[in-house]
Amino acid sequence: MPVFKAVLKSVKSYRKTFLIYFLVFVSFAPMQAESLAERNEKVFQEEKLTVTVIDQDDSLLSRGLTDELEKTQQVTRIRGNVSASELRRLKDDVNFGIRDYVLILPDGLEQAVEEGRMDIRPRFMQGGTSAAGQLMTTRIDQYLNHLAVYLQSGYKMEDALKDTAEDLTSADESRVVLERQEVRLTRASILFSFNGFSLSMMLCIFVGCLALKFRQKDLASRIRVSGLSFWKRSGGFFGAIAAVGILTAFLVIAVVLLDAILHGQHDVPGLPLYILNTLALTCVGLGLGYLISSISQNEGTVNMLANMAVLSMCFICGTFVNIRFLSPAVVKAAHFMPLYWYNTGVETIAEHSADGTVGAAFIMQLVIQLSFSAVFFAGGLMISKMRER
Amino acid sequence: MMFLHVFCYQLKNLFRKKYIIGWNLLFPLVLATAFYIGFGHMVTKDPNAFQTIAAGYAEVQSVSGIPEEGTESGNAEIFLKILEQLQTEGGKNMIDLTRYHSEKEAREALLDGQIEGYYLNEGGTLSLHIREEGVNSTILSQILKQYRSACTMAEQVAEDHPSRLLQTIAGLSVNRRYLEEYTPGRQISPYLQFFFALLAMSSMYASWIATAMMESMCANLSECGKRFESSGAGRFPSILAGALAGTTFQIVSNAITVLYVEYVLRISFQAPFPEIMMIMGLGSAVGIGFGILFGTLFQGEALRVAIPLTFSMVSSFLSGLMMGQMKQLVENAVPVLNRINPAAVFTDSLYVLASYGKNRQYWLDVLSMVGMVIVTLSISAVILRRRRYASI
Repeated sequence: MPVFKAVLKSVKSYRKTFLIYFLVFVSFAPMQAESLAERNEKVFQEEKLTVTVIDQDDSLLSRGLTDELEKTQQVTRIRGNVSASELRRLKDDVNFGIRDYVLILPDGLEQAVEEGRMDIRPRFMQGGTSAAGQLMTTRIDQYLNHLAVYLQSGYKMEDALKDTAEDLTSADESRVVLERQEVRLTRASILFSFNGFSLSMMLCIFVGCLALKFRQKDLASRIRVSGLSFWKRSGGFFGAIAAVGILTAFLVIAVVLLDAILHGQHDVPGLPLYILNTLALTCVGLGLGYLISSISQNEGTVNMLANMAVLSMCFICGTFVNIRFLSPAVVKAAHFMPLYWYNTGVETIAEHSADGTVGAAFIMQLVIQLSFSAVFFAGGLMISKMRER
Repeated sequence: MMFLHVFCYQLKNLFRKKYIIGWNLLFPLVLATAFYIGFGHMVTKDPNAFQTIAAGYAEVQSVSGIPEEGTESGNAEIFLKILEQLQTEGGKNMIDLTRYHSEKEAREALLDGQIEGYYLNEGGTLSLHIREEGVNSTILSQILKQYRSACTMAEQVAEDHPSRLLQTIAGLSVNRRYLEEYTPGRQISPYLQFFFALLAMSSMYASWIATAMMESMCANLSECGKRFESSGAGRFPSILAGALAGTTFQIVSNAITVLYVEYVLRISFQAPFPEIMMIMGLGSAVGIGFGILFGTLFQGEALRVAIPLTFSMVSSFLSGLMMGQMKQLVENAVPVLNRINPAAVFTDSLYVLASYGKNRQYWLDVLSMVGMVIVTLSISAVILRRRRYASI
């Protein structure tokens, strides 16, 4: 018990640093969730693309085309010319995936289409050679092709626009059957995924610093001669860092719940499972922190190694960059890192949160995380023993 | 002479501090390697690049013999021909089509992930079956819609202007490309932003160097500071020499990171090395400037660690270190934040240089960084000038 109390008292001296880390993470996580939730919706749940139309022609054709796009896409319309800096901003938006497509309808387009000329053509901006861009280009080309054919067949512009719109509307009634539903990550699941970074980082640094403090020659010697048995000393120390870990875990869970409530989501589906997964990650964070402390000389090194290990894992295991963008070799390598199993755990819960049956896969993900934690603790203990000798 | 003396000793001091070597040199290298392992391939290869879509086709009732055009199965044959002929602007096949003998086979292939969707012909009525929502599924659906709208159009013209039906069909068979791509500047991978933000983070870590340096130069902060301030060396020349030493150290460290990324990881920053180094120099000076300001303003030991840490983490996060598009999101929501965030100004200058060359925005970014250095150093100078110690 004295060691347990001493560790908890030592936590006090790190409270300012803890508060700063905690505040930083609390402010980062909702921003990340906000952005990822939007992107997730755009790519997997909705076919609607964000399209900006710069209408320099302001003609029947340009209005008709924009109206047609508005039926199926999320369109922002800008009338007239735009400045070079605005064009650059739009290009950067497209490049970073904030907008999917920018369509520029130049002055004189309607007349050119009516006369069958190709010297004035609409221009577009898209991010690389994206599938989304390909889709939009096909749709717009289809519209203009139809319109041109109607005009060539003797229709007036008004009629041609009306009939083209009707053709495309009737085509929209085509039957599309969805055979399997994609996993939909909720805001809460994105926040829990981000905890892979925040919780691991906080625990690694604090447990690392605490363990380092209690390994200082003077302090360690005083504890050793206090008359407490080895088991009481170790039990007190590990009990205290476990208590710190659990408290931190519940603090970050509380942040997720608060965020959910603030966003009108009073029930987080699969919450008990998320808590279990977070507690498994807590063990990983504690173990990794202990291991790092065993190979560090001072707090600066603990900070540096924790940052190197956790940040690198976050980029490779799918916390910051979606795992589907990573190469198969990297994903295979990520299997040997605990954060990968935490993230797949979050996905499993999100996939099965409606029916609440996560099955053996989730249990395996928990067991693997706990095994990693055990390996880290064992490694830390071994190195500490060797260094003591 | 004293200036040179302090400069040399500060530089020597910095190279001997293991934690500074670790944070300012090793850490960016480790993170750059992690970036490279994680998504290095996406910097050179566009992850959103269009890939031929694997699709299937199945009929519920197979019609034997050669189908006649105009009949339901004949129309389906036309549809199949269209599918096989569809190409992207680059001449790449849009669809890799597999014909299945039954719907069951097609469905199994779909659920196995071999194809992204299949078209089912049920007695002449076409429908599309997909595994999940997404852009490729939408493209498959769009093709079906395109086919249906062409059929509707032909019917419409046959009704209104029967004499022009042939001309219409001929017009429909010519698939004109009306749209042309427009790209102001050069197209660079959005994933390169992570590497720009990494260099920004590394430069902002220079604030730690300056804070540590200030500790050993201010009499109210350390024993070394007392010795230093009671020596004959002038306060301002010494601090300037120290700042220059810190900037030099950071420039060397950034140069190593840039060379490592360019020549070892083989990821090009899309800009000439001397110009990148000029931005590195300015970025390092900005980091040092802020560090001196923090060292001057905050006297508590915990704050002197926590403030530069928070500063470098928050500014790096907002410049896109953990999420590449963050800077652009901020640009759309609170543009002023990007103008005052030194890491965002730094990454923007690199991004603009790589994408658009040395345009007005680039020089504005450069001037902003120069301004930040002048402002931080001036505030620090004003505070330090008035500092007198009644007792320490």
